[in-house]
Amino acid sequence: MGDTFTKSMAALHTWAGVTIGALLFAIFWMGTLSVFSNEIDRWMLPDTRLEARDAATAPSLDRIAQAVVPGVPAGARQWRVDLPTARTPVVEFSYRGADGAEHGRLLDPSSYAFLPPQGSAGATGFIVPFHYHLHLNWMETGKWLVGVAAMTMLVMLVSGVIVHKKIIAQFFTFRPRKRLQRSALDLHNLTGVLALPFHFAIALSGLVIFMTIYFPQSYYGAYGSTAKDKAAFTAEAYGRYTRKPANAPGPLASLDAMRDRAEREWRGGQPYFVRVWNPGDANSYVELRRSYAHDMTMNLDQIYFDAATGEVLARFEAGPVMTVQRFFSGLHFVRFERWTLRWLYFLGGISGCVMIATGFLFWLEGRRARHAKHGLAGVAVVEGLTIGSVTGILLATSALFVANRLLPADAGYAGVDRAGMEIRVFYLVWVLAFCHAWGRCTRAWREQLWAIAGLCVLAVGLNWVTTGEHVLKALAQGQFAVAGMDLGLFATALLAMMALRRIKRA
Amino acid sequence: MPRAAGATVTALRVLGAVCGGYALTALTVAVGAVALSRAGMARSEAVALAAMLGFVLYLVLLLWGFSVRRVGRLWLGFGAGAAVMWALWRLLD
Amino acid sequence: MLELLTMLGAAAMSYVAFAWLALSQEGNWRALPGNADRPMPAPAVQRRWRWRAASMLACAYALCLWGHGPSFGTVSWVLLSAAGAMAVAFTLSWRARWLRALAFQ
Repeated sequence: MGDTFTKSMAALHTWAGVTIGALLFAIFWMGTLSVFSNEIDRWMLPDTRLEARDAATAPSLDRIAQAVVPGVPAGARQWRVDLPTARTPVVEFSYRGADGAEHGRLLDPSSYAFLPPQGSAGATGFIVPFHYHLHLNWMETGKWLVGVAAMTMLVMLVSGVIVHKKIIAQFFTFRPRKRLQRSALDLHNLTGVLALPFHFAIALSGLVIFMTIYFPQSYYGAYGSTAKDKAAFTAEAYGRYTRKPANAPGPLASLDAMRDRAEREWRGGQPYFVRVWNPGDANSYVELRRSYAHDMTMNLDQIYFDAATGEVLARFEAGPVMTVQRFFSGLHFVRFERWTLRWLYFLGGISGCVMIATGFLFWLEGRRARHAKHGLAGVAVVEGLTIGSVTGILLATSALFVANRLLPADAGYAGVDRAGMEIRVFYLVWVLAFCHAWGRCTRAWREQLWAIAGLCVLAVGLNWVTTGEHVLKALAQGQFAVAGMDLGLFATALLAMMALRRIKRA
Repeated sequence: MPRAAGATVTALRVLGAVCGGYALTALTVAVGAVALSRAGMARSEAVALAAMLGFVLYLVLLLWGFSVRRVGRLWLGFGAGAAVMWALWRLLD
Repeated sequence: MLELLTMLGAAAMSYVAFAWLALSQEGNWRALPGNADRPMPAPAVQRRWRWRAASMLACAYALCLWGHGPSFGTVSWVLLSAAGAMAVAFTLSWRARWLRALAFQ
């Protein structure tokens, strides 16, 4: 390992970081929030702040069917209900119409009544998909960009370690009182090295989730490259049962009986969702999948029942290699119910965001010094980009939460519903943050940090005003998600103020 | 980059490492899946294993591609790898 | 409750382990107030600290496995190690004197 190897790795690390850093920060930030997506949903969708139920009081599937089936239009291809969990105390009903479009409503699991439309995508509807496909769905462009970012992150983690000559000696080094470039590098190294297993596992597991998108060639040889071949692979790896509709009407047998049958087959395992295919048809069939709320591996156990008679039609379980794939997926998705571990993931995510942001700061300060020496002006452009990418997206997120509380229920404009308006506020503020950054240059850091702190505190206040719940009341009522979100917003405001003090001294 | 000699060399290196590396990895994954399934593994399992290992292989190829001294050696190396994989493919068919 | 207690216990063990590891390095040991001019503890002491750190980390892992099972336990332990090490780094930066209590030989 000669000197040129380290030099090439240093150049690779720098240029890969500059190229992908902004995108990577966005993905990592949204991913960090996604860890608590269900909890943020409680905050953003106040009608869903119901009491959590335990597994013993699972709602009756037949009563749910009674409530939802009348709303399923003729010709719908499927409808499904996702059963309530400890983190999501509502029944999520959705159906896919004949045109393929998806529609959804929420139900109260105690009263089986529909909740009023919430007018918001919440975190699971906007933040989580942003994290894995950037809402760029044309030709899977978003997923490919995220994949490139993840692969680049792996390269940067390895190259970063190679380049960090004093990795052992500086294992615990953080000098916050030195000048900004030194402090930023210290913090970058700290968060990068100490949480290295987390960052590496997250990036790799994220890639593994979409392995069939990133390496379709994997099944080209063994199966073929047509759509039929892909369907064959998907069926064998992930499980899939299909049966053509009879185009004649047929009844729906007791779903609760099917659930009991499934629980016996799964030796106590509970279903986490129920899907009825070709509803109302004589050849309709019901799919149940086993919950992985207490496992790391996101099992693929599924049972298919004949809708009319309740007889078992098919079963599926993942093979050993696919089980490994689902273990990696579970490592990344964090769907399990272990709130202490969930918090650790969140802190890991924050450390990743800090790693990326401090990397940017270190590079920027170095550039500033070099450009000042040579009288160049490029720093302004790059600094604007950095500000918009880091504080800008944090600002847009705070604005999203404020808009969620402020927008009236009937908000809408030119065919865009309230949920869409919320999202547009996010993007608008993000764009404005970039413009502000390029206009105000270095001062924009402080101004945006002030704005973030202000909006976060405003969001907490608005939650109190619009829902009547503040932190203490939420805690008293067992609404830990809401309390946690309010406290998180306060903490963000606090951190923004601390960052303000720090960069003032720069 | 070692002996950075202009935009063309850099472009060739990036193209070679990123695109060439992906191409070689994809080829290896395809051949690997077939080889594993011929060796007795269930087809879907072989495909999944090959795809997962593909990411690790791509990481290694990227690191090598950006650190190898001469860009020519990069293209030669990946070309040789592709040739080996292609030969394996014909063997397995 | 058990989940929280085992996490906190393992977190504390992780913190202490990394504190010992940090103290076994000269640069960090000298960061403690009053140690700048004192002679560095003997290599035998440094080795002892590192052994203690390793043992403590092993205990933390055992506690995680016991309280959370193999997969959750391992993941928790890895993340708690990162958190513990970072907490030690921040202690050294801002409240180095807190580590004096652990600097016993």
